[in-house]
Amino acid sequence: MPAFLVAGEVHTAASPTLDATASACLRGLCAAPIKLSVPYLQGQITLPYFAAGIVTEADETMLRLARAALAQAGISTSAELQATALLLGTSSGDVGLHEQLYREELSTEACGGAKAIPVREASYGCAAQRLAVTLGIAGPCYTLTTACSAAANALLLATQLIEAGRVRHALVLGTETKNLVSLLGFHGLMLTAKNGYKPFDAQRDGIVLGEALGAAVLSTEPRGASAWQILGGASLCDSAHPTSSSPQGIAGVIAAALANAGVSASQIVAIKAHGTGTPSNDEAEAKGLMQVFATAMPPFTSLKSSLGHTLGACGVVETLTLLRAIECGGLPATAGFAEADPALGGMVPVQHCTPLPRGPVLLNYFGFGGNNCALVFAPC
Amino acid sequence: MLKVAARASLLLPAGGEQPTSLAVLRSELGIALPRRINRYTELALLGAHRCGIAYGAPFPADTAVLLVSETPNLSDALRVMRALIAEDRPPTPFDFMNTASNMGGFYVAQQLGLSAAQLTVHRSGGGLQAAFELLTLPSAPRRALLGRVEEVDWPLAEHRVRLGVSADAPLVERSDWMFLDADCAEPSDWVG
Repeated sequence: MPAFLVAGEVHTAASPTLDATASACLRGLCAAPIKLSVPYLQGQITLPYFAAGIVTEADETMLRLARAALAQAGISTSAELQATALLLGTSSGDVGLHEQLYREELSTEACGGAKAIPVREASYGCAAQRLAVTLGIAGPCYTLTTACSAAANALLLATQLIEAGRVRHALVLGTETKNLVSLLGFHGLMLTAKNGYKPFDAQRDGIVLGEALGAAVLSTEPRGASAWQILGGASLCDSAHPTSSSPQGIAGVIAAALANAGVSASQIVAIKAHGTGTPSNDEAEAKGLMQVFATAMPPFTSLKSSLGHTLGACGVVETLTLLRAIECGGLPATAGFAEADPALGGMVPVQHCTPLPRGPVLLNYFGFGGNNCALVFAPC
Repeated sequence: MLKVAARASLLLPAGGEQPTSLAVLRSELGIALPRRINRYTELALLGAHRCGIAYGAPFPADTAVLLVSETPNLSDALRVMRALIAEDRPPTPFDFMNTASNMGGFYVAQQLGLSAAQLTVHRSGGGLQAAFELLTLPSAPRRALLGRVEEVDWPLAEHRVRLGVSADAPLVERSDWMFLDADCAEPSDWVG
């Protein structure tokens, strides 16, 4: 039984809606990252950040997106909600909220109140189950925490649950909200961009984090105004390094995804690269893509310089944004790209919105912990 | 129906003021562990290696790793948050890397030479059930190393508050692993 992506909604730094986010990407009008001042060694430092302002309202915003996506898909009866799974992908979970609560508890403790305790809810699975109860979803719940490929892996598992006939529908959520651990952690790894966000550019020097939420609905049949079939995908572990994917690992997961989808490399009409903008990721991804596509490289882009690197949420957020952009005009340009990098073997992302022939598209997602995932979608 | 080809468990009652040393377990296994890993990953590796000994042969490279946990790497995450919020002290690179929920599974795959999927899955109070549901899909890998790893954070009184259990509730750290192999001719157990 095939699986179709039939509805979705996002809230990004570009816009609180999918249509406007995709439109902004197509027209190159996404907002530049803000300068975020954060505490650092008794002082402050400034880091670029794609803010969407959703830390404290994350649950409410996610409910809004999920309800909108379910409504678009026409899933409303209790019978249909009983046959719906909920899968949530995230990297940092509720860390931003825990940071805020701990800070408040420390202030209370300083005034003679109770001792402050960081993280009072010790289960990654709680958020998904709370959302399922609120939405009336009675199918199985899964939370995936495979770093930056978390929501992509959630999409892949949702596809497999539907293909196996376990559920009729799946609500797949991706969530990433602002938190200091991620901001200062990537800064400490010297992976944060200092000179603007420039994936695949010769002057690229790192990532700019972003916050975003996304909700996608997968179903056994096409529904609603637009639908894409999920032809297949693959998730493999690249154990070369805990924080860097290798060209071989990337080529391997792409080849496995194409084989699983029953699609040859020559049939792919476009690629959404993971395209983090770090020197090592973009080089490894370019080399991995060249191993698979050789001299017939399809047009490719990175959405991260438009939306920020939304870590565990990007699987859902970038998938929905890319597919809507293709429906509305083509493959969005890679914002910030200006100068080809000789180390990437002549690989240049699209620099203008590029109309595409009808056909399957490849989406790459790679994460810390060697978690590589590639997905193949085709228009219905 | 899943065929269990091997299984092993590691249970460490949590008491006293400090975590139980893992040195004896390390030396019993006679393995060299990666540098700068945290206690959670070490628990995962010790349990997975024990499962390998029970199996009696290297796991095939196409074995997937599925790790379930309520909150992986909790102690490192708490230490980073205490430093960050209470002292404005940013995480070191290894501290930050070790807070990633999937690092336990990564090091198990790396140390055992496994290259299939490596997933970290959570369901509050039902992680193993979630894993079994995924491993019985027609698309599931034919071989998988399934682990359930939980660590305890000290002080124990705070951790009991975090877990919502009574002040005298016994706490335990654990690392339970089973090797599931659809082609196993003589399974030790069946699940399903």
